[in-house]
Amino acid sequence: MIAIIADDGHPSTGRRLADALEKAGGNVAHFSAPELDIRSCYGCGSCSARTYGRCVQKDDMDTVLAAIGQCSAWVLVSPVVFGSYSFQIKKVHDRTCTLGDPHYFVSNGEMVKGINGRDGTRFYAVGVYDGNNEQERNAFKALHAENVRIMNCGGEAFAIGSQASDVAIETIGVVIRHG
Amino acid sequence: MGNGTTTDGKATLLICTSPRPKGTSAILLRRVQQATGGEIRFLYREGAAAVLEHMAGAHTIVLSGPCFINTYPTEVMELLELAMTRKKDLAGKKLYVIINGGMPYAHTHQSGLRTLALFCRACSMQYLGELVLGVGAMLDGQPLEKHMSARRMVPAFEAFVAHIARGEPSPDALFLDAQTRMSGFKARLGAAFLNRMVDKRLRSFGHDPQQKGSHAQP
Repeated sequence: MIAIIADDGHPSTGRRLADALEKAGGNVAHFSAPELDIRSCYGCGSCSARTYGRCVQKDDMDTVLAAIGQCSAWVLVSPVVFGSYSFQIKKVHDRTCTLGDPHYFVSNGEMVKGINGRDGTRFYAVGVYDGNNEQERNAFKALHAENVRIMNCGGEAFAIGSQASDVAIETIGVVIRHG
Repeated sequence: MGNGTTTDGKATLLICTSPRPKGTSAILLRRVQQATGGEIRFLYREGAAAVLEHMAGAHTIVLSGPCFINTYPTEVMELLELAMTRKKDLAGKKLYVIINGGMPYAHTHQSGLRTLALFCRACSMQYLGELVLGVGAMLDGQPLEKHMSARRMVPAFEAFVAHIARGEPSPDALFLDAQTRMSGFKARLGAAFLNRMVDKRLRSFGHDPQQKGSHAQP
């Protein structure tokens, strides 16, 4: 299964990607972040200690985490906001720390973390950006690269326009499905 | 203590973007405050709208926060998105940023700095300096002198604060040169040491350190 959590504007890039994946035979769970009741992470650390593997905040993030827990890949679809994820998507992203393994590993000579019990999972980010500032796109991809590095997982980032063609969306879908 | 203004006589605002009012981010800001004066506002406690009002009234802004998955936490994005509605009020203001996180590597935290730099560009603000404090989370409210690389980091931080007080640009080399150095061998030793602490803590709460998280695949 593939989980897509999107901050969808108009047109809805996340919904388009979900449709493309389903059309290609994929099993997809699509969430629209602004429609979910998800509170910000407060960095309490409980998920890596007292309530290991569980967040103390009870909201719609439980449903999202359950979906990500069942998937081979999850995707964040976000407007590119100063080279980063939007507020709605960052809320979700921060809360995925619940899935994190509190242990440290070493990869390419550096300490990294991991995703608990999820070897081989992949994390993708699709940034939607219509501006002319290439630094924004590059910063978004660099952020995602750091994410997969520290999470010790696979995945790729894409930066496309809000009017991206169906072919472009389908191409991203192929990469996500096949790793 | 400074009188709330930098040496060019303008008001200073210090923004703590951590959910912890007494953690590393706040400790560092209080240190800046000793040189510049000014108010510390807590983003998580006061909310983006209230902090934005304070930003509109300041001339120099120092933002300090933790690194959540390679960049600043959620509330900072809410603040930046909201701030775009007040671009005209922010034009010309000076911004200095501090980010601290658990990992020793500057690159792990630099995406947060890039975001603030891009924000400044969009608002015609002056992005005047940045500082990364790796392994900052381990301080957990203790003074900077307790940092594992205090010998390099304390002078670097004080130099950074001096630039803020004078309202002038601070070079990146300040913190890049002060990074905690960690070879692959030290990384393995560090990971082994930290993992013993992690396992001990998990067991203290009755958990099996080898168990998968509750959301993991069966």
